[in-house]
Amino acid sequence: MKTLSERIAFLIAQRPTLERWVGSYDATALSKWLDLELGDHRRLEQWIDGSRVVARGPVLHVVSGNTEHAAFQSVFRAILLGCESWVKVPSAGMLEFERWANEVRLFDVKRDLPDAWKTPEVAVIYGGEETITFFRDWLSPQTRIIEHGPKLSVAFVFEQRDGLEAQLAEDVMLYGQRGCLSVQAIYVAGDVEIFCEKLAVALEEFRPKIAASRSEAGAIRNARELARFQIANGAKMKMWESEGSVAWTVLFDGESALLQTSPTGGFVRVLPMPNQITRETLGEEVAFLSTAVLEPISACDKLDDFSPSRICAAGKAQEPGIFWHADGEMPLAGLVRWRDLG
Amino acid sequence: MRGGEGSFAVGALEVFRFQFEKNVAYRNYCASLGRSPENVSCWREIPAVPTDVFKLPSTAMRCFPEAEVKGFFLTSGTTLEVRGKHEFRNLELYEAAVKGGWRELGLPEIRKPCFFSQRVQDAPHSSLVRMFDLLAPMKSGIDQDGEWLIDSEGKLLSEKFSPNGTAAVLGTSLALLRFCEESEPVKLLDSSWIFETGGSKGLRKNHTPADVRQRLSKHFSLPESRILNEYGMTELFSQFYKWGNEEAHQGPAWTAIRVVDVFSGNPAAEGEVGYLEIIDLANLDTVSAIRTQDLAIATGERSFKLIGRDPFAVARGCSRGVDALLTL
Repeated sequence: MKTLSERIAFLIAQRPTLERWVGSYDATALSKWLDLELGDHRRLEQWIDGSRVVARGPVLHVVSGNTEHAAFQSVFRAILLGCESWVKVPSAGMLEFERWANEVRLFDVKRDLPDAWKTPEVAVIYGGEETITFFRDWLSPQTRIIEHGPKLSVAFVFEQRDGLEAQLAEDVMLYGQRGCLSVQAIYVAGDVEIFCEKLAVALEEFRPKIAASRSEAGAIRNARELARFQIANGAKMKMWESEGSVAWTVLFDGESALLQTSPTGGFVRVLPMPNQITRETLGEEVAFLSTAVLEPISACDKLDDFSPSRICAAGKAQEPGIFWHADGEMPLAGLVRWRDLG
Repeated sequence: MRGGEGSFAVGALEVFRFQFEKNVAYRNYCASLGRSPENVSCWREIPAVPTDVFKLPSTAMRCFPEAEVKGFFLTSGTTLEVRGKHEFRNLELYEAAVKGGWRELGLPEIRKPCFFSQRVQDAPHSSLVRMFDLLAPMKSGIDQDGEWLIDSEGKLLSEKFSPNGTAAVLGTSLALLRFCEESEPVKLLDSSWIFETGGSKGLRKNHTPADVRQRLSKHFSLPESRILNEYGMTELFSQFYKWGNEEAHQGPAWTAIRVVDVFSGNPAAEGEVGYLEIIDLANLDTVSAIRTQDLAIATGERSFKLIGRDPFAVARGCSRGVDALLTL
């Protein structure tokens, strides 16, 4: 597929598979996306106003295994631009992505890491700190690295309304709360305990589609016992939990406004909304914030102090679509090299 | 069997009664679970606390008043992390547990020790360094207290390592692996042995316990059967040990272990993996029943096969929560 129109036609033909992972799109939207990031989509094939762009390559995509979104989205961008791609999937595999890759046969996919892959022009790395650190060391110094390190997402509820808890339950529970877009904490204005009760009901009704791993289950039980210990010793906390299982946990934590990671697997910490929403009141973890779910969405100015890279409405956290600026970056721009004439 | 009788079973219940009475925070927790000396009739029923309770700044985990605190051990961690604090009023019981456990488990006499560790004055709040300090004089016929191969600034003094005859090499896995990275292989006498403990977090690459053993075995030219692994933690005064050719860690007579099914919260079935809980009666002045964050399989009442952090855990991906969970 040498031309842009061929590549767009291919992506349109693949919509039945890809839209589940990248959201909806059409040919016009793809051209417009290129226009936004490259100034003009035609630059991929001709000089426009004294400049054109060349797709970088090979691009090594290192994709994390907790959901398959990153793999599909990262490769989607590379296909659109015409980059040659190598894809390192987790050693345990990534079944749907591998099945699709095997069908379309446009790029190499491996579960291991051959030495021949040490020198891509660009590496797009999704993963935890250990993964990022490893690849910084392993890759050639000439490789440009685009890092998507570990992140967490949070909800801010300034106004409570009917149905909100069910939408937030989806933002928490979808994909087992394992993604960087999964909500791990909720800040709530108004009566927090009533909100927690409703959220507990919503989580019980939602129930996880992905069972907790042993590590998650153990961490959830530890977190629950720690909370029980604190509650027994007078902490301003209250806990709602699934009976006889680790399916979900709601912990109202009135002790601190500091953002903390949760053990995942349906464990959500609910905190009273601080008077000032700042980096100082939320603490150091806010540096890892990916998505802020906001209710109502019109209150987005209230988060200006720390400028989250993405703000969305309740129920939308997990589906950003292909056009978002993941971690605040222009995802296509990093995969091309510019050439100037004159 | 120690289920309901014997000195451990009796002692464990006595210690529980004592701690329930003296440790207010622990008593409050037990009460919230509906447990007390009146209805706990077996050591298996003694409530265990997660290690993170030692990190709570406003909750004292001790059976004595603050005025009697003579010192404390801190868990490892960066300056930004909250570190667990194990307070003590004296170290007599710690010393007895360290030395007594060493002797009871038949571990070798320590001659010509080389500690890949700071000295106790450089790391006064490290329980491991204190342990090394206690073990150092146990050697016989040697009038020096051994080589200390990490200086007060934390610098590894690889060039000072000069084993002579049968050597005892003791250190954290991290320090020993760093030595392996920085130095040429060393041929130790066959009668030598290595003590290693802890994970490899902090190196460029994480190593499994088997990797650590293989690496040390190769670097020091010793069979894995001469490499002793210690399982211990700041929150516990006693330690568990296993040699490289053994399957299970073993603790001294005043300890016991339980393995809990993480999904149900009930005791794990025989041979099943679960979270490890330890009862350590040497933890007399704090709390004896501790819930660890490690997976294990029980192989006896005071022995277990350590699995560690879940090797079948979800792939570590872009989630900050999952990353934290697996890195702890």
